[in-house]
Amino acid sequence: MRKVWFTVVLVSVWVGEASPWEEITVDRFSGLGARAMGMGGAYMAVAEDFTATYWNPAGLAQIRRFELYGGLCQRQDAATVSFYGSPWHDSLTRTTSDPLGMVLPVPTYRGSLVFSVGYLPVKVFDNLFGVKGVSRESGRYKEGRAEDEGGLGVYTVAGAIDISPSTSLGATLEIWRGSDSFSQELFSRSLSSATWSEIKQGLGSPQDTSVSYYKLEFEDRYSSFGVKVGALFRMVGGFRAGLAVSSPVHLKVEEDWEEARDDTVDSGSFSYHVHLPWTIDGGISWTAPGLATVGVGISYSDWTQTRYDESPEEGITNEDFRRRYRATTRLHLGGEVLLPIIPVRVRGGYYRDPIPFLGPREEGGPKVEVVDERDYWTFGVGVLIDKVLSLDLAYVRGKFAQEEGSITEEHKLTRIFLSAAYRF
Amino acid sequence: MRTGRLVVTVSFLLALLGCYTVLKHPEVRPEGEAEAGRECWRCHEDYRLERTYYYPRLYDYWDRLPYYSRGYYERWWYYNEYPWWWDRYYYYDSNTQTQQEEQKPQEQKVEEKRPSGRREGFYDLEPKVGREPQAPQVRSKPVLRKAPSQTKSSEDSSKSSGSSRRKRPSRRKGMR
Repeated sequence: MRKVWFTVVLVSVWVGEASPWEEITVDRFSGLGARAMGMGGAYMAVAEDFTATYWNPAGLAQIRRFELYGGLCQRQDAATVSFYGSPWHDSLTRTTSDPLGMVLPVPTYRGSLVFSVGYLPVKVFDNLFGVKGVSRESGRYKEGRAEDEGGLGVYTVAGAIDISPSTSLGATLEIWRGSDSFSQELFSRSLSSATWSEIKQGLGSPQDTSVSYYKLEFEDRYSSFGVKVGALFRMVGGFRAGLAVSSPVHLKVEEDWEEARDDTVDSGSFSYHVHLPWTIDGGISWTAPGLATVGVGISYSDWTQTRYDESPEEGITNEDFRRRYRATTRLHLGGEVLLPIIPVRVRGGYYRDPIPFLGPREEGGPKVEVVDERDYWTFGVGVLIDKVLSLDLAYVRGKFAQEEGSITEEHKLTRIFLSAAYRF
Repeated sequence: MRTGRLVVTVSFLLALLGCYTVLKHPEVRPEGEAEAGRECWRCHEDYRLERTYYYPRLYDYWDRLPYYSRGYYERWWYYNEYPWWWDRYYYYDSNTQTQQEEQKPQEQKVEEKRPSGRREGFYDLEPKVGREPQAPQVRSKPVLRKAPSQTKSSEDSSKSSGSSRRKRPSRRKGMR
């Protein structure tokens, strides 16, 4: 009887840690387009290639030639976790396709009419977390790793048109598709005699009295539809202003899950909907033709308006989105300079992507304290080959750190974007 | 939520109704030439504003570029600004012109030929065999004779253009 009770306590502790309450589809901006990211993502009022479909569809109206666009992106997340003072470190690297698409300008006598079709990866779920050490709360030694791998992309059909000499409007119809593979393993063992203070002082030695194993895996598949509309205003002296609004997205999630605890295995599948809120993007840019372009942009989302139609976990309500999330405004700054003599553009930028999750992950747990906001510095270079082929490369380096009670989590993020745009 | 989407969609479509973008050049009728001229000026003035006032482009400061950098900047201009259909229209226009010349009806070519050969009538010969006698051309409206001191009116100049069916008299006709 005593053994059974002990097992119940252990399981309840592990489940609480194994299912940290955080909706993966909230936030997760990862950037796209080598030119845009080289400029720190300050592209809402520049939007001069296929990626305008994402940044501001009205920008497509500026494209005068057919464009084939494709790219690759390598993302690396190096995570360091301090678990009650014990360090854990690991990294995750993935290479995925960046935007892939085609721009089709229609011949006009005045103004502009441009369409595009393609694919855009808009959210990346890749994430890494782990622990290794003795928990001060449970008094047990734990070692485990949790990993998300996947993302959300949109298949798009977009169009843009000039409605005056200075104003363009655009719209993108989006078909959302994506997946997320989550896996977690956690080993735990109790410490029989030594107390935390004794272990910390090196006086006691942990003895293996009870070893347990917990594993959770699930595979989510996402589907939805969305619309994004945008406007671009060309103003005096090379200034441009852009505004884009993304409609709420009602993501249908189909999930298969499997949970293993020691010698018991449970599994199931179900589906639910996540309703993501409106997103508003805006920006201003200034272009000195043949010399430089600089820009600034923001993206606002109120994540407290996220909703489930049916909770994927027991005990989670929509009220939790109001309490555990916040509205965020992403800030982008950047620019590019055209080098003389050789057809090369050099870029630099910065963006801050605030963390919307405030916590706690479970009732009574510690809140998330952001130690370092997600700040990214970006560098880029682009070369134009034979008037028709633009090759762009961007290097993005960022980091953030947050603290939840005695667990400190620090991530160093590296992203390399490579894209080619062929205009004919 | 659906109402919101509907409002956005309808607003977007309404904005397109009075659209600035023109896919096909408006038809210009000869009888409304004066009005059409003003229309052209209005449209193309807007286009000039678009280029120079709202968003300066390369060809607006082309003259200020040093000659050795023009090829360099032209490369960017071609990539960013040069519409693909301009090539097509230039090609199309020149090609069409050639085709039109080739496909001109034979009658029209005959009409454009000189009515008479050199020294026609010098020797009081009969018309050539196989050639139809030319019917005298009747003018729809008599041309008033102007006083020698007066300058030629625009009406006269239009009447004497190549498009008129009136054939010019033979060289040195009646000199003999």
